[in-house]
Amino acid sequence: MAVRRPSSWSPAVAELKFAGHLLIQNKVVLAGTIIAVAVLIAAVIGPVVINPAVATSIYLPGRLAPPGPEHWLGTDDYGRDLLKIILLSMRLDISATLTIVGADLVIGVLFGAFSGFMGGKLDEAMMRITDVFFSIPTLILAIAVAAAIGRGLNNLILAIIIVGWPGYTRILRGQVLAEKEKLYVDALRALGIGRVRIILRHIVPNTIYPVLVQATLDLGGTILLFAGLSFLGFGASALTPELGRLITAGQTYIFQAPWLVAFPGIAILMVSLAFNLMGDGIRDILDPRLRR
Amino acid sequence: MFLLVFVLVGVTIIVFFLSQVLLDPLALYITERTREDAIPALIAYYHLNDPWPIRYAVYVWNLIRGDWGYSRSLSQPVLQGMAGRFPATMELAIAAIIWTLVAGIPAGIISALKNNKLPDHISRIVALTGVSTPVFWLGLLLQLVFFYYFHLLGLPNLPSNGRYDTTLGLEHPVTQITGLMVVDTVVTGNFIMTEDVVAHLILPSFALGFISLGVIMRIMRSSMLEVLRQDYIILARSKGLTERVVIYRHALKNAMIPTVTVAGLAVAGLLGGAPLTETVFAWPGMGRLAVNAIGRNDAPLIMGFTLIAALILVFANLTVDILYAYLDPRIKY
Repeated sequence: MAVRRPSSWSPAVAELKFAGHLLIQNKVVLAGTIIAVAVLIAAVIGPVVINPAVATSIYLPGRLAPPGPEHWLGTDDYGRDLLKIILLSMRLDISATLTIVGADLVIGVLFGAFSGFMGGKLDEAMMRITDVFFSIPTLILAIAVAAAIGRGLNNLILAIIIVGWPGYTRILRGQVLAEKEKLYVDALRALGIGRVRIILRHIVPNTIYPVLVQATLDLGGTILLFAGLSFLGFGASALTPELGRLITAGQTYIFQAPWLVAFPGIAILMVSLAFNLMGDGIRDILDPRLRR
Repeated sequence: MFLLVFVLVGVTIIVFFLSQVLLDPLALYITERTREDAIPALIAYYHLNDPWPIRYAVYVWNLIRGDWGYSRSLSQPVLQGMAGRFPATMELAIAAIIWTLVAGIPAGIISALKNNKLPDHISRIVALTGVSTPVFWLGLLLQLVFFYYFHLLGLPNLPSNGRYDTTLGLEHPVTQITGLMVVDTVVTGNFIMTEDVVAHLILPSFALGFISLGVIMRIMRSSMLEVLRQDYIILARSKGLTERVVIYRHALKNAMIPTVTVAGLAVAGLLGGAPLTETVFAWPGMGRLAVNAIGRNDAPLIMGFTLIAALILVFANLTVDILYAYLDPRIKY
């Protein structure tokens, strides 16, 4: 293949092509990304193909049927087709995960950017607050918050959002501390541009990459946290298709109908694994030090 | 030290906010047997109608005095209830951390030495699966295989719940000394129970430690690779030292430094995994207690557990800092 001069591309395109090249080179990451994309597609089109009414269609005579040609993954204790329920659940779990990480990203980035840029007492206070959050295990703090604000799906999501932002704040703040000393920031100030505008329009776009990488790395852990708390009884009500909830329900029948526990767990594992592989890959691609 | 106090103050502020501001503060101190006419006296005693700073001060003072509120689901003061379950959680956590370190450190060294060969690939897969596996699901699967299927096949099966076999426990009662049953049974020479207690520990500690295993393995690998690239290792090799001495006498100690940090962090993971693992294995620890409290709206117990978890974590981080100074003489406090 003829080697084209990199200079003939704009830097962004070159970067993207190089990223794609690295992606194809790394077999494990490629496999992870393919699985992740497949799982995401299944989760997105699942509820379109499957009638969501399946979730509430209880048919007790057909309950606990083992996996077979009619029901590929068997049926649950309400007689619902497990495969369909799992596909419906995956969308809920994945969208909850994305909501949580997305919200934490916004909160963490805003706090981190202002904290780092303003410096002084505000910065000091913010760092001590993050210290406190880091000194309580995430799952336990989430339990405490969820217990205080009450049960329900939205409250569970809120609770996990409340405990999750400090990591991003720390990373972004560190980036901003270095960035704000650069010459262009002085230039912007000299032009009379306001601090908020400098932070949001200039500093954040220049410092956000490491935080984005961290966010993709956190997706896998977040879905485990969400499913785990659902398993413990927070979050969705009994008939809502949710993966952790499905395992709670299946736990009663573990020896009688092990597929009720096995398959929803495999679904969580697959989604989490795919997120983790994708996150690892994105980190390797975006972090020049790891490009070897 | 200053930071430690600061963090503890911060934790109490968070828990104070959750339990006294978002929830009914009185609920922390009343029981179903509290008489109606005693309530004004309780409000006065705990200063519940006073301004927030005073209420916070009173709250912290009560925590220090050991009054952590009253748990309705246990019908017992929170601290007393927690204290009874503390050894069970510790025993499980210690077992989990021991096996992850014993397995993870050598595995990490091997994958560093066989960098990008088969053992390294295997460790990479184990690590990735570890951080992606829902611990409660793993626990249930382990029960299914090692308790139920082994039983069906007539193989020797492992117990799937509790800390010991209750019938066996009646025949050979365990004397409580430390509360860690393995230690207690060994000290009192009750070896029949030691065997039973260890068998009960295997599955839950495996499930709990599995997440941390991968993390420890990968950190050990990368720090070992880093250390092996240094000049003093080349010197050691060129002196004609055997590979074994180079690695275990010269490289290991330096490579351990990052691993110790991560092991300290793994304590957070183990504590966070405790509610899930203990629930699945019916392990009578603090985590299961807190989970049961969720269903009964027993907030005082959940808040108490949160405080204890934070205390343990702060203590673990302190231990890591002390270990640092031992591993790396350049670090002085």
